Parts: sequence; C-alpha cells; structure tokens
Amino acid sequence: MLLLVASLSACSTGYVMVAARPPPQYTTLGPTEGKYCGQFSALRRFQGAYANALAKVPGARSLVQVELQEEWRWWGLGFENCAIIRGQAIR
Amino acid sequence: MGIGIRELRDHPWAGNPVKRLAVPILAASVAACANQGGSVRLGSDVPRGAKLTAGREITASACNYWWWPFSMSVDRLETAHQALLDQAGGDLIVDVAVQGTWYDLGVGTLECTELRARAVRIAPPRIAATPAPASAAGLIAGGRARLRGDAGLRAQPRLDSATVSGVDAGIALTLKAAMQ
Repeated sequence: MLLLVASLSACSTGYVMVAARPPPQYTTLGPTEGKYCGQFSALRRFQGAYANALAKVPGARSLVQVELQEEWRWWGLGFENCAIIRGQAIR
Repeated sequence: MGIGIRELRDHPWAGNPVKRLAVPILAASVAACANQGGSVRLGSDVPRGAKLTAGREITASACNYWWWPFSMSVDRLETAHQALLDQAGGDLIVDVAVQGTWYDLGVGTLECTELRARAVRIAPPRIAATPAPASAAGLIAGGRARLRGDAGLRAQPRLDSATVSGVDAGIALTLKAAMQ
C-alpha cells in the first residue's frame, strides 16, 4: 500500500549527465561553480546547476573534475532543494 | 504568573486555527534549518588522449526519509557514490549521470539520488600490423615508423619502453644474421 501511494505521488529529475568523459583533446579554461535551487523536488536542479557552471566561463563546453553537492533549506512553509556543481571548465 | 483555561479561552487568537498555527509556524521559520551534504567527486581522472574500453554500466542509489520537523540528512549522494565506487571495483568511472527522485509518502517524503555511470579501463596499446620488410634496412625503417606512429604506445610509457627494447633486439638479431 505504501509503495502504491509512493508510486502515485513521485517525481523525478530524470538522469542528467554531469561528468561526461572528456574529449581526447581539450583546453582547460579554469574552475567554475553553478548552483540551482527550487522548491520541494526541484526537478531542474541538476540541469540548472550544470548550466549555471558552464555559463560562468565563456566558451566552456563541458566540465571535468566534477564535484556535486546537495543541500536543502527549510523556510517555514516548505523546503528548498539545491544542487551545487563545481569543476574545471573545458573547451 | 500562570496561564489558566480561562486565559486561553479568552485569548484573542482562541478558536481561530490559522492564528493558532501562526505561532508555531513563525517559530519554525525563525528556527529555519538547513542541511548540506558533503561534496562528492564524480568520475575518475582520465589521462588525456587515453583510449578506454567500452566497459560496463553501473548504477547505485540511496535515499533519505524526511518528515518535518525531523531533520533530513543529505548523505544520500555520498552513500550512492560509495556504492558506485564499490561496483566499479577499481575501474575508472566515466559518464556519470545523476537523477533525483522524490516520493510523497503522505507522512513525510523520501528523497532518493541515483547514479548511473560506466566502469571502464584504459585500452591496452595495439601495435599496428605492418608487412614484413624484405631487408634489414626495411626492418629498421618499419620498426622506427611503428614507434613514431602509434599514439597508443606514447600513452603508456612503461609499455613503450618495453616495446622499444623488443623491437631493438629484433633489429639487432636481424642485422647480425645479415652480416653473417
């Protein structure tokens, strides 16, 4: 019964590639960090954090040496889920 | 100074559920809490230009249960990552994808983190097959060309030197035979 209830009210971010294998040749552009927060399940937190990290470095196409961190914050009437992605931007 | 039934009954907020809930909600807001999980390094360092095997897919997941006001730990990512490392068994981990799933259980929620990746190895270098040279000079030229041209040999220094020794020995033997 519990599983039924859970399956009826579940949502997922879907798989998001955050640490793809680097291309054979690349140029390291420098460290970067991206954060994305959303209410409750925050379905776009991984995509958002990755996109924010890339957007901070002009010309960046991907990240290597990726670190992921999650955090949540209770603000009284709900909670906020965040994802933080750090890494080296490459081109 | 005590608070009796009469004081509570006559309180301006008595009987109004919204106002009665306002105090604990405000108190909770003031005591708003946050929790931060540890930072997890996803994927292995792959040497530049290294050729990798196709490998195998590995997955791992971990969940945290949360029911306000009980605090929710955020160690599920670290737990899932450790399980992923265990599955890789020392192989390199590449192409790491992450998924978060949120289940509403009515009395609390279940937050899960799933990791999916590939466990691979550095492909062993392949020595290009070249036709057998007709002379000792051809063998020397062919051996040097193979050493210069095979990127896989350059990526593996230990194998590189071993292969060079083997080819040099072969060239020396052939030269010796030709001189005799």
